[in-house]
Amino acid sequence: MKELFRKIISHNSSSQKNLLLINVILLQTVLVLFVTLWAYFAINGIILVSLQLITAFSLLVAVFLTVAAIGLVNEITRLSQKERELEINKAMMEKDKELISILSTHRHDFQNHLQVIMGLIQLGRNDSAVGYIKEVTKSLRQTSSTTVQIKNLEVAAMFLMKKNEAEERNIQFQLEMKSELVGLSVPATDISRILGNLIENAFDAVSVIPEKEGRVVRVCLNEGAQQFIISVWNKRPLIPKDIQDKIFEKGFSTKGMAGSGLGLAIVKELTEKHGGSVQLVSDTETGTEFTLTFPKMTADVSA
Amino acid sequence: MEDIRVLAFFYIIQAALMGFVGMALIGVRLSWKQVLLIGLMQGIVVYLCRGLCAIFGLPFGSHSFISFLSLIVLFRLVLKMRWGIDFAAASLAFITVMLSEGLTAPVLYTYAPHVFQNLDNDVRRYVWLSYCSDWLLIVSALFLGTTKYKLMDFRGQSGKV
Repeated sequence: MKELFRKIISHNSSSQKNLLLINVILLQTVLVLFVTLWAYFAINGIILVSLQLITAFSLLVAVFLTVAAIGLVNEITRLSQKERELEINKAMMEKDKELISILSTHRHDFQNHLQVIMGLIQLGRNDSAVGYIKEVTKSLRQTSSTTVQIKNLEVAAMFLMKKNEAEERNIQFQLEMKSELVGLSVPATDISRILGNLIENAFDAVSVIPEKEGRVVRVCLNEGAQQFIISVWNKRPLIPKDIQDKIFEKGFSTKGMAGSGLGLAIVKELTEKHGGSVQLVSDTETGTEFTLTFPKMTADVSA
Repeated sequence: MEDIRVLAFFYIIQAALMGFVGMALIGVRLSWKQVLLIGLMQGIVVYLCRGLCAIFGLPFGSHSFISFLSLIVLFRLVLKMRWGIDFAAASLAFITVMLSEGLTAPVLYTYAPHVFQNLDNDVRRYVWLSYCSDWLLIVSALFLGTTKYKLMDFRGQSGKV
């Protein structure tokens, strides 16, 4: 019967599955009510039905209810697992889109560079062409020298994208790589979300500073003996003391209508989910710095 | 067989209410014509079913199961919707009726047992008592008829065939 239930479920679309699940629950209710009424009337001698018949029917109903309940629980568990997988796939797709977007930008840039080089060669300015190639190569090295060290492709892609975004917004984006984060037990999708949110917030914050005063956002990846330490820093603006405690609360935003108030709440939730913690320091001495710490995975020696 | 007046004054009306309430609870509003058609046909099925169960000595309660199945088939024939939708509507209608009867019967048996004496010989009392025990169905019908409430919304997947 369990197999039959599974077969019926697996051959239906999701809307039909929902309907089937609801119907199983409704049928359970009908049967329970029916048996209850039947037993009540029979026991009080209002109707003439043998108690053996009621007992047999009740047992059948109990078996059906048990099998149906197990089937329902299994199906709900399976559906929630599918939902989780779907969320992960969705996040991965977003990252793939970002990668494609970066590659498209680079392809476009390379086409432009090639056209310039071809033009210089056609004009017979070979020295200028060589100089241009050197300049482009130097610029590329500067951009990717740090990010290529990151073993995790999604995180590297996220940093590249943020670097491009920073250039567009006239923000100086510095990445200090003192650790390659090898052994960090946080999934790539989650660490990308955490860092993406913090960097985006820092970009938004420094955007209010006039360009001539220097818009700088610095990300530092570091590690100690027991933990990984990641910080996102910007000199200004500072976060007032009275709102520093509320900043990680859901719905709280300093961006008014433009902010959803979810970014930092997600950062905190995801960080804590992976055993980490997030701290905020915002004063004139330090500037504004969000520091994430994640414990290092310790090998089980006894195993 | 039961008195034919029970069919005319109770079974048809009860079946019509069940049809309306069952479908309205899942977000499907029936027209008057559909309600009356379902009421008439289901009322006759219930009447015949109860009579035949008594004649052939089938255990009490069999008629409920047969009526349940017949309501599903009637929904399918009249409204031409998916079996799943018909099943859900019929289940909800029966749950309403059984809840109503389940709540009313013990109270009546405890506090007014005399109303059940010689019930088969008094059609008028039988009909009134039946309406009393179906109070939840009547209240539900009135509520659903005057509001747009729905317990579930299956309109998007009614899948008319």
